[in-house]
Amino acid sequence: MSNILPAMLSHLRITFLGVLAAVILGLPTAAFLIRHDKLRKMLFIIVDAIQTVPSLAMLTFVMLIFGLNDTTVIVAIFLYSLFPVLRNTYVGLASVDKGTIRAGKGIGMTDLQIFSMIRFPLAAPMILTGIRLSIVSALGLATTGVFIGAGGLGMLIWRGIQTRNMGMMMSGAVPVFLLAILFEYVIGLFEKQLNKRQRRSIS
Amino acid sequence: MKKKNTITLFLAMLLLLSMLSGCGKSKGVTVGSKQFTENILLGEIYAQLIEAKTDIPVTRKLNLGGTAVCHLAAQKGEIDMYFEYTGTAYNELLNHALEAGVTKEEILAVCQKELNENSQMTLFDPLGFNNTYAVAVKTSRLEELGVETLSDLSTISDQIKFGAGHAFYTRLHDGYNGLVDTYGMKFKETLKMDTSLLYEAAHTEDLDAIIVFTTDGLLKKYDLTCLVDDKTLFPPYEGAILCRNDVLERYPELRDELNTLAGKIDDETMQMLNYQVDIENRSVEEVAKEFLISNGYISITDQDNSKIYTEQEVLDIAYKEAGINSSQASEIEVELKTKDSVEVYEIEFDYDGYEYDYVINAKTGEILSKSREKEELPTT
Amino acid sequence: MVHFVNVTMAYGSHIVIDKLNLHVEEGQLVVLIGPSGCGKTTTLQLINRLIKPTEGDILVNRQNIKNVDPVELRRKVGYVIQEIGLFPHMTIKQNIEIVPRLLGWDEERKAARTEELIQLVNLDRKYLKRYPSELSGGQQQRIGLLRALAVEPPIILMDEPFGALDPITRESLQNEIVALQKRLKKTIVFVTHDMDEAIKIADRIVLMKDGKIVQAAASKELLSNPANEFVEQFIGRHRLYSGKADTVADVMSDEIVCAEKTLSLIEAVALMRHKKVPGLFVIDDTKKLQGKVSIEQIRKSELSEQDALETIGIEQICPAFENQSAREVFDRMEAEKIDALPVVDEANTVIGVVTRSSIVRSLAEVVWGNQS
Repeated sequence: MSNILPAMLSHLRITFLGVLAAVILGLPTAAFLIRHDKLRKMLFIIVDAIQTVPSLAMLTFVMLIFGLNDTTVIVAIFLYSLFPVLRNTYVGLASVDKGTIRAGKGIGMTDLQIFSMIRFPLAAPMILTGIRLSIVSALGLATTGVFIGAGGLGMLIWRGIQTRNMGMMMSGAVPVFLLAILFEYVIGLFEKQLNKRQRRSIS
Repeated sequence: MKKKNTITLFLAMLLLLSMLSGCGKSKGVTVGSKQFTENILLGEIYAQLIEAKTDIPVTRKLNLGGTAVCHLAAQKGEIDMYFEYTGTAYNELLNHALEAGVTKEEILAVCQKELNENSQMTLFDPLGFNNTYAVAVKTSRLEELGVETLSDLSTISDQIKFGAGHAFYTRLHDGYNGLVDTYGMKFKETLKMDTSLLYEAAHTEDLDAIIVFTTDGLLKKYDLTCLVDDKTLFPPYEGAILCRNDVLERYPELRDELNTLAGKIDDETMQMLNYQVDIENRSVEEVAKEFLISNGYISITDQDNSKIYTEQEVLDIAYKEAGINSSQASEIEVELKTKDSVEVYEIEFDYDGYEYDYVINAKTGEILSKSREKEELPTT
Repeated sequence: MVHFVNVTMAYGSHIVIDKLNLHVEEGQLVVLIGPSGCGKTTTLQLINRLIKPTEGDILVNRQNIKNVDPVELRRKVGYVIQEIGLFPHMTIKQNIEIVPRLLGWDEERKAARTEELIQLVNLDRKYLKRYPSELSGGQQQRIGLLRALAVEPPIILMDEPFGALDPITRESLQNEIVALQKRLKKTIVFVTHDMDEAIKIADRIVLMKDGKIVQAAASKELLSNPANEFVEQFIGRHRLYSGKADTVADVMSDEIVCAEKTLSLIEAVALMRHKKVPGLFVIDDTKKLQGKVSIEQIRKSELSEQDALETIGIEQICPAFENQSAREVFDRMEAEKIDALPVVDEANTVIGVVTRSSIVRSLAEVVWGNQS
């Protein structure tokens, strides 16, 4: 089926742009929230609420603003990815051992250095977890893009179901499944690698 | 936080870029459709009709997620037209309750009036079929059971094993409750099942009567007949094309074309079309084109000038002419040539001891010459 | 080197540091000590501007630190904390070299300095490639120390650095500090709550209470002449140098082994074994002296091991009092062949014990002066 490859590329493009937007916005926001706890509580409530919106309703709503195209799906993925990305990044950054931060400050690191040399590297495994979670669920979400006229592997899956053409359906579903497993595994490896270095010190 | 500002800017640019890729309202018209075969098929039919008969460029956005998405997209202008049903428009779009006793003519009138006034959209006249619920029974058993209408069925309902999909049981007035209240049905057995399984069960006679949609392709496959809804329990869902008024103003020629099919597709025809896609597994594009051509809505000369027929297409024309189907031909040869500055296909194949020769105009599909010779047997 | 001039630090209405005037001379190891909440850690953190004073000035090397960029200041001041705070995602080498890295040293210079440092504490080179989590707490804190010494800062601040370590490691690190200080003669400000530690390592001890200095003096001076009762109590009777042996108070020790009369025989025996004493002084639940019991008595009695001490028959003894003459008590003990005599107050509450060794200790101080 020669239309699998362009569909897969389109699917990946949609998934990545959505998650990337969440990461680009989410990372600095989470860093900012470390010092603004009230704001954090409010923001988390909003982000949690977004998670509960059923995907088709979300797509329909976003479609009204962005239209029947890939952008709508990208924005929807962005919104749904905020939950894992923001939360995991925040927890990762906030749970860095206070003694380590104090040491960094005391020996003369600027705030930025404390963030970039201590907080961020130590939070990296958790941040990666958040990214991994959002990529895997975004891959699934992107299949529903077909309902608002976007590209991706969704078209193959849904047309396959409707016409009871198992082959077509699989040609859409299997790549999604394989991609999800691939990212789970690969990113998981990175997480493990980073975690090795962060075994808690004996104190 | 300077870093955050630059990052926000970057993100905004990224969004803008990806929007640009999907942006730009294209000229011409966009045809949308809902998610199920019938609606996609009709969308494709209208798209091809407009492409063939006018110069208007057509964009397709078929397979959208349901009435909600379609209608919202149409209101927003993301699509210009899609195929809608009177019952759906009346109930879901215009929020009127579907009560028993309202005629389909009344419903249609209300829909056309209010869609025009409220949404600036024109609901054209229905094509003729009514895609609504029906109770179906195996055709071969009609006589044995002695039923024609639902009232007939209610007299023997205590001997009937009945089945329907889950949604049917949850409908407030016109679903299962309706059958009980309006017709007094008291089925021997009632079962809840998936659609395709229902048909199987009716076929094997594990069920006697099942709930179907009147235009299902599977009706033709399993040869079932829909009983007449004499008390009009099931609301009418007549199908018609719904189009934005501004598009009709921009392209005045569109109105005539959209009216072409009014009253031209009845229940049986729609069943057949659905059957061709769902059961024969042919592509929507192919079935649409064949329907339009074979009914003379578009002629071969209406085709887009730069396109020529594919090899498969001209072979199909030749086979049809010869009265055979593709699997019966052997030693097939097809060649595209230019003869007298006209592009033609030269076709040869063998069948039943004869050698067939065709020359077909590649642009129009017209058969320019044909011949048939007895095959020469190899001489000893 | 470090001067606090009328420094006050308050959180709202709560005054943490109250018009503090303190000076630390170059090359000295000064220990800040006191009860919780006395302000010792705050004082330390004022020096490297982790905390800002509400009023007053702090001068380091004659510069008012108000006018110095805090980050620059901290890079010139070594800082060692109780949590150790090594960076777990960096190697030991990277941890040691962190301040040089912040200052932009090149690789060669960093490596050379690291080499010097590990020679200083005899650290095996193989540790450089390891990660903090692979090291024990004691080793990690030694690295913490090296990290603080990396750019040869003139001052080092240490905030209860050995507090989280086991006693043995603590002792060995204390010794190392003392040895290092002999070689390097750094100016060190050291916070602790452990009096023994303070006595061991300090050139000068600053005892604080409620944000004020109660007494600041060399260890010997503090121990010989405590300024008031608070100081005495804080230091602990048994550490004080009396420098005399006149009264029972001068020669007694507070390490008396007592047991309540309701204690079971088997527990009493275990206690004696643990403390390596042949007998116990029996007290009631308000620490009033009842008498004494010897291990012989317990062995000879035919009571079961669950029975309480009081069922044995406690021997009455005549205790000593604080202001009695040490000489008289000594003579009595000689005459009556008493090895250990309990000391009580007017209410018969046990406050200490006179033993041969406690007497010897006091006499040794008188004859030979203070412990070093």
